[in-house]
Amino acid sequence: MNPAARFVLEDATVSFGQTRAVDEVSLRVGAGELVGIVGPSGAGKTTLLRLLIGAVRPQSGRVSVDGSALAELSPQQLRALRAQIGFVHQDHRLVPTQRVVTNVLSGRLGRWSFLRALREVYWPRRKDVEDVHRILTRVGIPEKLFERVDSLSGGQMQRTAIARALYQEPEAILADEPVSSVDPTRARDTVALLARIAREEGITLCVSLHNLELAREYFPRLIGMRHGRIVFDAPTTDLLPQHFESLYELSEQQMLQDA
Amino acid sequence: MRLRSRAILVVGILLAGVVSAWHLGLDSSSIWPTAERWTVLGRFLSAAFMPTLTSQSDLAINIVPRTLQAMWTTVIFAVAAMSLSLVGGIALGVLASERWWSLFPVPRAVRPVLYGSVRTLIAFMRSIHEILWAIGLLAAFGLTTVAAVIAIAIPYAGTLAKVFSEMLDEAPEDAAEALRMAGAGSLQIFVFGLIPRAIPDMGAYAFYRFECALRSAAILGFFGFETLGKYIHQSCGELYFREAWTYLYALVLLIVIVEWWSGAVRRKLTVA
Repeated sequence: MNPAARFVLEDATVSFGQTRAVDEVSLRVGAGELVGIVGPSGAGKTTLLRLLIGAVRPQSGRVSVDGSALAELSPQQLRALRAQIGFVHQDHRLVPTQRVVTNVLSGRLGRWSFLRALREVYWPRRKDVEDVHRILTRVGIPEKLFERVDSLSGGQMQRTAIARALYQEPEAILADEPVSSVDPTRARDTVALLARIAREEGITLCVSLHNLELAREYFPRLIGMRHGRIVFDAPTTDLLPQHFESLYELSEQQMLQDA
Repeated sequence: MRLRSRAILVVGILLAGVVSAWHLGLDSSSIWPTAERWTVLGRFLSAAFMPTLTSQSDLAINIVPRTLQAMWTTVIFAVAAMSLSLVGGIALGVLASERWWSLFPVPRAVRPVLYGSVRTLIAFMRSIHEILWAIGLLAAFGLTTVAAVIAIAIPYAGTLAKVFSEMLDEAPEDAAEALRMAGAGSLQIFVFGLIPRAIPDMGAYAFYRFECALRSAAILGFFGFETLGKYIHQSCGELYFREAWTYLYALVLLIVIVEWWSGAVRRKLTVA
């Protein structure tokens, strides 16, 4: 196997009841790649991303990250692996009543023992606060360092969540619909930001997106999903309009059939 | 059909009321005060409009220092009791929550035994009223601060633990899930992801209980502890109602101050 493969899915299937959220999907993402995952809602994008970090386990098939099969890892090893992967959730999942700095600092919990974490998060050293400030500068909200999260706008909360993922010093970032709840201008800024940082630091980036235009603009490789299956997986420049149309048209036909 | 069953319910409740009143020996003469009692009640109520700053037994004595001293003692008792019950309430509340035990590799069937036994303990603590604890502890320690503080702290710790455990079990799991996916361990997820999501509710409830603790501390004065209740009890016993109202207003003032303070803190805890 290619040693540079970061994420590998082999015939992975995840079912929730009768629904196959991910249906015998195989996929390989190399280190440092920028991949956009597109498709209508319910196509399985979220489940695919959650598979890659071991938050859901496949009923059949295999998931491996950096050459190790997730199913074979001990809880300790899984923790260590997750510490190297930042996950940005659609709904940010911060602690709203705590400050931005506290939320960002907790990104490194995966590396610390419990006692060390208590000190690092609640009594951070000056240097660590400066590190957080530097990351917040990169994501464009340095002035929010000591603000409470619930005083921020939706876009600023999403940037805080990205900052928390970056503070992990991750080798890969998985972002699940990171801009579905912000306005179009901010959405473009946020996707551009993620792509730029990933390129600059050689971070592997997989982002699921609703917005095809944004996906085509910022990701050199696109994966199209529908009903849990991969419809296309190709360099963006090779994709034709009918590829994207098929993604949605077919699903509409399917919806009509279902109805 | 529904209307009929509702009518039966109303008649049933009325009947239960009549039966229990009859059982208590209540009749029109015992419910309606005698003329003499009316006078006492009138004096008590009219004294509300003329609280006094001098003692009614000895006009030379200014009761302001005594009132301030009793207010201070009431606050001290309440603060000490609350601190103690917060420590106990948080520790027991964590141990009584289902989520805490789900963090550890304890077999699923054993978990209810673990949090169940803690819940039994806290049910015992809070089912005995602080006045009853005070009677027992008075016998053990005498009229000491320790006796009063522990008497309040035991049932309060039980109540806090019960409510805290429910808050911990119902706190949103969003942040906890994010930390789990960032590689955090079980204990870290609980402390950094769940507790902070429950803290606003826990804090607001603790402040409410502090108000209750002030009232409890005042009431324990009836046993002779140097809180406001001691003077309320004494002056009422001697029918010095104007003096009694001074102490009552002092208690109301304390409660109002704490309510105002806790309101401010609660707003800070919950909304930005």
